[in-house]
Amino acid sequence: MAPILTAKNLTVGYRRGNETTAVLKGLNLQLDKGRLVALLGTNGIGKSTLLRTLAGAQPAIGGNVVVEGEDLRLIGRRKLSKLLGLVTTERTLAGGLTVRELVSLGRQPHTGFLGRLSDDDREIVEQSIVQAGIGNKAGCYMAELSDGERQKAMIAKALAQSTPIILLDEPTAFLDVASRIDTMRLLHQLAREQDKAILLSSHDVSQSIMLADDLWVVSYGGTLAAGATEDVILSGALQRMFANSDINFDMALGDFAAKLPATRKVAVSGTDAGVIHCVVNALRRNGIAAEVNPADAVECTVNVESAVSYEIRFENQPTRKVGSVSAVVESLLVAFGDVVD
Amino acid sequence: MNDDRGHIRRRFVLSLTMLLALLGVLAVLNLLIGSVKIPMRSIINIIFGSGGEKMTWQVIIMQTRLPMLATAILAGAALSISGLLLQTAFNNPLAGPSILGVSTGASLGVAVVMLAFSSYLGTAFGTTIAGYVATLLGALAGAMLVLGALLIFSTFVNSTTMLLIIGIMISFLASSAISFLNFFATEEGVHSYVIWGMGNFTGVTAQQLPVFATLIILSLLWSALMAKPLNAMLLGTRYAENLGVNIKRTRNMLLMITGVLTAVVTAFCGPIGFLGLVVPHIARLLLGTSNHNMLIPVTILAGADIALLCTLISVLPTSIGIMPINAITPIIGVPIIIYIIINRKKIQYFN
Repeated sequence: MAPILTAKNLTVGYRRGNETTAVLKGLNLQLDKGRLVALLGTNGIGKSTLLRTLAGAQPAIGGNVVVEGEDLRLIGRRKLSKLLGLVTTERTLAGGLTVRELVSLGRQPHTGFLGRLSDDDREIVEQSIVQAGIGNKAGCYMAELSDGERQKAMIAKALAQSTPIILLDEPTAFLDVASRIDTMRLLHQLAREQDKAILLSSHDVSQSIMLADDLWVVSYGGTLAAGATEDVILSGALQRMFANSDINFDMALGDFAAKLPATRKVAVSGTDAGVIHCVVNALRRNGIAAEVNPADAVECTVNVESAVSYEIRFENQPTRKVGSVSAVVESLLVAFGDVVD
Repeated sequence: MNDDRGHIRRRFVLSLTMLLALLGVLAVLNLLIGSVKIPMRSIINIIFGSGGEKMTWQVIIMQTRLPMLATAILAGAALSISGLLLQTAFNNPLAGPSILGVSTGASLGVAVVMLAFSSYLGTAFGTTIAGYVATLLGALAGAMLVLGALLIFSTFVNSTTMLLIIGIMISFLASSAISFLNFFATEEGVHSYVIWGMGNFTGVTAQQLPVFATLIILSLLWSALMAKPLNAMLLGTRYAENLGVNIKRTRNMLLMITGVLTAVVTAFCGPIGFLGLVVPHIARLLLGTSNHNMLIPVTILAGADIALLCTLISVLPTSIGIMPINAITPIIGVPIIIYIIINRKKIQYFN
């Protein structure tokens, strides 16, 4: 199936008078129906500019964007509002509207001059509210909602717009962890079930990796790597997101982690991945490079038997048993001589 | 599922009925009260033309009280709608024609006509057709000048609060220009300007009323047609644009309507403060929604009611004459604004 949106050799940026400032250059991108795409990159790297350009709110500096076979520049405002729904972090004066009234605004591209809702429009509004998971809040004022619920109401608005494409600018920016996960799960589900092409910009790398079908990663230098999530991860694009080389993308963790100075190497083995993760993390924090299946030889192996039983084996020494992660850390530090008793 | 539709609809109908009933009561009181006592039955006879009443009474009712009643209703509605449109257009609940300097701009236009050209047009305002047309055009030019300046600033000042402050600054500039004009003007001109500047609803004669009414009613109808883009603009410009709203055109149209409404009222009645700022808030509090489909009619009615209330208070000390409206509007307006500011956390539409 042909992609619903394609960008060819696209350059985005700002135009002031005759001067142009390119932010991101030579982008070749596509959005497909039924796929959730996460746009990752540091602050100020041009994520919002790219989103605004794809949404037609800002002209491209070079190249072109084609939506459903038509050049974005030639699509009228009215038609575009039926192709592409937007969710931003813009401050609104909508506190005095109920969720239902707000979501009804999403029908504006489909209603007449006076904005009257038909029975069909009302039906779509109700469905959108339920699909966005705020059916129980339909009659509440926007001002009464939590940040997460407000974000869902805006997503319901975009759904009511009945567009094949939905763009979201940092939809999880101001949310707590639970709402962040909930929102991402919702978007993932909507892409699948409603066959929408959804693009969101985000800082939430671990959630994006888990739920996005594709990643667009803007590296520190301003090049963009796009592709299926795992292909992009394995290409090392995430590693190039930050200029700071002390921040490391940890494939096992699926997130960024601070690179900590480590002089000693330890192997961790066992069957319980959760506990292994805890041990690795605790050791790294204490300056010991712990790895699950290290390529090269190590001085010591920690075998996780269970959450309350750990074996520590040094070469040519008898195995020692301890009962907690902190005890593991302590005995290793003593053995390496970093702690003087 | 909790259903807001019926609830909000009920509140809308209730507000409309209440405001209409109040309008009726205030209108009757306004016709009854004045320096000359005229019984209700005679008033009815005069208005419905059954004749047989005293000539002086007929003149008082038909030439003074009725035009004043109509002027107050129209001016109140006009200023209140101006406030509502500006609040939504500038995304700021504290915007209003008097705050943004639109009224002062119109006043400057009037001052230029009254003080600089008074010798050509006859001394007192409104005595000649040329005089009131010139005043009207002056007010329109002044209001549009300020709105145009605000529009230009809005292209490179993104913060609506900053824009509001620029409006206040423009207002100061216009006031300074008015002071210059006053300084160099004739005593007579200054006197008529000062009287005009205190605001009153008696400035529209029965002959001028059709022009006044037509301009205001057409602008109010136009504003009612803007409810759809106004609602979209509650979400901010990016969302509104995404919903297919032509932001530039909509904003220009809103400023045009506001300019005409404010200028017409200011030319005839003087710069009347507070109504434009306060009434939209009263309407929102009454309705419990920011939905313009309901907000526009309720704002029009509430504006008319409050203007009539101010008029009524202004004619109460019957023996001395009519008090200036601008002495009364702050007494009603300021407590409401302070109440709203103090309770803004509890008021939904602020969040």
